[in-house]
Amino acid sequence: MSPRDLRHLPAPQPMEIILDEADLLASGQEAAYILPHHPSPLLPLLQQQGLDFRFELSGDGGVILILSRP
Amino acid sequence: MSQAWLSYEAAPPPWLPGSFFAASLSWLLVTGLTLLLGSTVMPNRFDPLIVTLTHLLALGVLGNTMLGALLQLLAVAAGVGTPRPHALWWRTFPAWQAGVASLCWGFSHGFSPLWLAIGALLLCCAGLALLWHAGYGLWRSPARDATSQGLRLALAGLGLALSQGLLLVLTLGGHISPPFLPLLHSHVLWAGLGWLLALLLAVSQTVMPMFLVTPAFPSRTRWLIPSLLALLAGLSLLLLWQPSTAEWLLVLACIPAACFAILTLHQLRASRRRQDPLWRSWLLATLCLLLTLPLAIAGLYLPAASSSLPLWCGVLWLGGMGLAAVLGMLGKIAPFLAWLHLQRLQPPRGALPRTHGFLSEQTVARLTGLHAGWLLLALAWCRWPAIWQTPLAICTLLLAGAAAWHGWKLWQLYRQVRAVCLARHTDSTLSTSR
Repeated sequence: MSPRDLRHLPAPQPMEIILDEADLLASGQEAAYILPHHPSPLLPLLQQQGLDFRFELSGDGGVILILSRP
Repeated sequence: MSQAWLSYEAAPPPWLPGSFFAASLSWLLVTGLTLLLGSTVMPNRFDPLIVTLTHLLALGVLGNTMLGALLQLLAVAAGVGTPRPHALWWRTFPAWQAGVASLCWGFSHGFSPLWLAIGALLLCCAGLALLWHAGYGLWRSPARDATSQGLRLALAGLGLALSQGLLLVLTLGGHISPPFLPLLHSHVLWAGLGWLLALLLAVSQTVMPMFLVTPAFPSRTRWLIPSLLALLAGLSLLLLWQPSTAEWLLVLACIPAACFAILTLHQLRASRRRQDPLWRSWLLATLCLLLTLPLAIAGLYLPAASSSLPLWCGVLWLGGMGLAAVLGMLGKIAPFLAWLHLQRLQPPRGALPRTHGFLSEQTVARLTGLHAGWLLLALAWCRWPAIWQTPLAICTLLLAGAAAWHGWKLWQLYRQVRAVCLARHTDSTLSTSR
């Protein structure tokens, strides 16, 4: 699964895209996104949707957000 | 951006900054009516109507938006919560609006000492309440990013501008007798540079990378606000003790402003969102800032050149730089806050519009264009007030009316979606209880 790079988008488009796609994730499915920084405002909304998430570094200054539905 | 993000429960509810934003547009309407009903002015910065209009714009229009944005930014950038939003609103909002009304009433009625004193005291009370909330929150906040540091310093600028305003009012009323002109210069410096420009500088370091996809500001930008405030402190002290020397050194205040303008133009050039209306607003704001500097220098050292010079500076600084930034930011912040708040209510799929659904980019672009036209009229009015006062008044009312109309539509859509969300929650609660 190659992460989708959202760093070229202005706020709050990355948030909108991630929340829309997270809504469609089936149980056990994962989705990954590259963001310019740690998405603090997004995390409570993902928790609210019952999603698990973890982070990795992209290696070029970005942060990879990996979402999954338990 | 800092990582001092709050839980959403501690963040200010949308109506808190929203009420300040709505008040800002109301004061813009009042500004238009004041122009329409006021007598024709002479191009003189001390004309009662011009002083009234300056404070309507600075405190009513810009001040309200800046305070609303500040409350939101305190939460977003520095993690400063608003645990009792109603109490904070009662301590700040009514006193600020009543203060603006009293002060401007005093200016427009022959500099009435009583109304000016009431206005200045109310504004200081509201300012103190806000400074207490923000200062205490920032003092406890772990955030040390450029925006949070900038907010700390801009708040100091607000405090000084308000206290000097109160001293000026007491001087006009004959209660105290400090040297009037040096105090006035100092008040203008702290209000225009120490508060408005410093806040703009602090905000831009978060807002430009976030909304305009620019690179982060260079790390040396962190020193710009402290340098600006240190310079202003030095100039203020010099104005009080050696006014004749200080007047020759006031030009130094242009240096940090010019640095910020050049830096902002560089960031705008690197932006990946040049088609965004906010990009145009920010460009207009920066060009107004740059244009103000030579005019301010000419006004200082060649006052006989034109009596319109101080007016052009005021219009470009408050109505150009300030209003362009404020309208541009409102076009971004207001729909984002509405969307974010509704998102937290877990709306049914398809019920929540995108942020552009609350306020389209075309609408914001039209408002930006209208503001640019308004600015040209305002500059013409500074030179030929008798000819341009009525057209400027009508254009001000148009700008305020258009912005208020779109704000009203945004609010209506927010309420509709919120009703859908709440109805869904009620249904799910009922079905669970069965």
